[in-house]
Amino acid sequence: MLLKGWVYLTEKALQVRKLPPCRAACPAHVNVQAYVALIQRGKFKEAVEVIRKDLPFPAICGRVCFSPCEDACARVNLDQAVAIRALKRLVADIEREQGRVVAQPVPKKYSEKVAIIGAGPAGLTAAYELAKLGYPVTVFERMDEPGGMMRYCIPDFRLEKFVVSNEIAYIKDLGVEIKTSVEFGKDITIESLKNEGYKAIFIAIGTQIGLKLNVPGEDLEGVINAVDFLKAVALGRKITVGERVAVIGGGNTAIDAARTAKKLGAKEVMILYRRSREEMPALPHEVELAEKDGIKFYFLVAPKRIIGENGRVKAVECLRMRLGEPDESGRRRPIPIAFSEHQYDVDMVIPALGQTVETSVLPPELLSKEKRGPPLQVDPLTLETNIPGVFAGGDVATGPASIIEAVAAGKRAAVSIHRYLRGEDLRKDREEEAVEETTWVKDWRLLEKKERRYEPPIEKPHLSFEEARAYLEKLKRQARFEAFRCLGCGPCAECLAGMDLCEGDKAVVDEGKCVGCNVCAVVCPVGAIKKNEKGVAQVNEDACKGCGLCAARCPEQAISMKKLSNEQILDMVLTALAR
Amino acid sequence: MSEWKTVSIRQELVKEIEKILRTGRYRSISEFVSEAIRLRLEELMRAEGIPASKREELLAIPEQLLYTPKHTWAQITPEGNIRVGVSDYAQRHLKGIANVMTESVGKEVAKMEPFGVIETWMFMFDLYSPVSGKIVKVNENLKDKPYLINEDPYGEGWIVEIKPKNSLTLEEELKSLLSSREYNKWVSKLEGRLRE
Repeated sequence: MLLKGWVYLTEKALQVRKLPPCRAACPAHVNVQAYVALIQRGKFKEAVEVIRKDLPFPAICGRVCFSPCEDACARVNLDQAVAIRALKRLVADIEREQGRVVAQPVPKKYSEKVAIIGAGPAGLTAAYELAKLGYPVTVFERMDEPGGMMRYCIPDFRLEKFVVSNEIAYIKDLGVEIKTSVEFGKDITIESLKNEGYKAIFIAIGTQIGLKLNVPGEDLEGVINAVDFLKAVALGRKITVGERVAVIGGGNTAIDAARTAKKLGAKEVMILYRRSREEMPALPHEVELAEKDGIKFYFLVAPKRIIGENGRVKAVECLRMRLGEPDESGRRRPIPIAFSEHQYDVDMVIPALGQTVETSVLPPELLSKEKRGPPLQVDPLTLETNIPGVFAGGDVATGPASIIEAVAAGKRAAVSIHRYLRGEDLRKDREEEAVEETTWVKDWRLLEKKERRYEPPIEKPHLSFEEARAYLEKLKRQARFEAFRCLGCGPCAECLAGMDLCEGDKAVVDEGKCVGCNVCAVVCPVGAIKKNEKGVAQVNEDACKGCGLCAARCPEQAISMKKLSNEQILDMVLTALAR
Repeated sequence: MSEWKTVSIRQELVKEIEKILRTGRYRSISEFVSEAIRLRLEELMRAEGIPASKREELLAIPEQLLYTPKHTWAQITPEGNIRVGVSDYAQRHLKGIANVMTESVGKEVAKMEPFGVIETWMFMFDLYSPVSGKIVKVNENLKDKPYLINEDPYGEGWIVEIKPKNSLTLEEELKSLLSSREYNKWVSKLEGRLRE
């Protein structure tokens, strides 16, 4: 350990999981610290394995995740976050670059069949987790190909289709069955699935309908919703893009639609947004790329009506806005300025105002009675609906969100379904979801500044085979340098996989020196240390992972790390083999 | 699990290696030595003494095909078209193949000009045409199963068929391509360049 930090001792701190800031910020709690530590040691393959424990889509998230981990990274206080997303993409790509990745099928341990409706990120993650537990899982998908919004709504230049196909092939390899071109509400219903013997159902149909502008002229030719537009492009349908295109909205879908229109040959593409740049929900990085593509941004304007000529769009009439008080979302509310009408001459309008649930396919008893709020009533902790055995999660329950949030919902649903089918309490100990950041770094002045060493290439380089081999080695070196920027500020990398990050020592308490301050119990990431009745720290040797944090943190230096005896090592090997 | 062997080297050799280490290409003596041993083994395998069957295992270079230095092969089909694919050597560098993109049918291509791209997870590799002519057929199977190139680079993994411009220029162009022996030499040379 480099520095000794000070940890506040609270009762609550003893109950919650203590995670490094990056992992705590990730909705799916992907073990960032562990895979970055493995990259430091050049163990790229093991790093992907660690990611796959929590996330079935390392290559997808390495490309399009909004990376809350980087926003939370402790290095932000010093210089710049560790390039976590880029590293994830690199290790996932290197693994695939060296050959096709085929997963070993998991034997079916249980007989209860599980049906999952919707092959988007939430549904596929739930299927992945349940298949790993040993359930026979079937995923039903309406479209011809699985992947949901990842395949149909994220354009090719941000997320290549083969990436989605490969990641889904991995899930299929585990033994998940995916049935495509099956429509929920038409070909299958909750009753029909239950009659077929499915014991639990997870509804993850997402939000498929683009919200309307609700202004006159919306039915003119040349107005197409962003979701439909992106879907049509992904499906390879012929779409005639106008010369001057206006995209309305400020989210990621708006940016994607605008950039797609530009790439399809539109001469001028503008984004009209009713708030200012600061309030845009789109990722700043994406906005910059859009500007580089030559897309114009007009802020503080909202469409009043769409003007047509012979049934086709000719212009959008807009009102100027000013910003008022913050609303419930924390963003400042736009207020129209009277008599500020002005026009933009366009021949295509793409509204991208957000999406909503296709309620017509859902059984009416699932829908919420209240007009306001989400259309589906779902317990946020367990994802249960009011029909027993039916769970719902992902965008359908929360409204449009991100891939990583959908992954988190899928994992949560898998835990609930497993407990439901095993007859366990769905709520017990779910509080472990409560996490708390811990970091030992207190004095930033003592740390050295290091700029980012690795940026992912924006475009794939055209190389000869010999150059490619050398280039790959260079990237690997850069990635290792970048990984070394990680401060390791969390309690323990918790790789827990015998990946020899630590030396296999166990903590030993010198009872004579221990003063019972409890610091060790607080810092222990696996809860292996507790105070006994004498007020002295006691180590549970089976739980101790030998990370050495307690020894580094003990103010009395009463804890030391002892090497295991030969018999103990033999014992560990034998138990590992028996498994 | 890889096996571990202890290797001892002479003192004067160590000094030489340390000199090379200073250039920064290798990080440690052991890394240099293991690399050297690997290359030496490969060289031995490629040498004359190895039985033909084992050599083929190492690198399959069918004799009846013609090759370009950019690792594409050419084969004359019964209809008189030229079938084009990539060699086994190329396939070994294309383990992470993701996409095969070629010019569409009817497009004119010139000799040693790119007619398509193989996209892997991290790189793009240009495909160079062995002859000039017009593309008449594209292997549609590669769209869904690009890994066919890895499984059978000289058969199922063919990429396009090109109708040559005229027979006169074709003959000349074919003459300028490499025979299997020449291609084998060229590949060894490339590997050697990597070694330096």
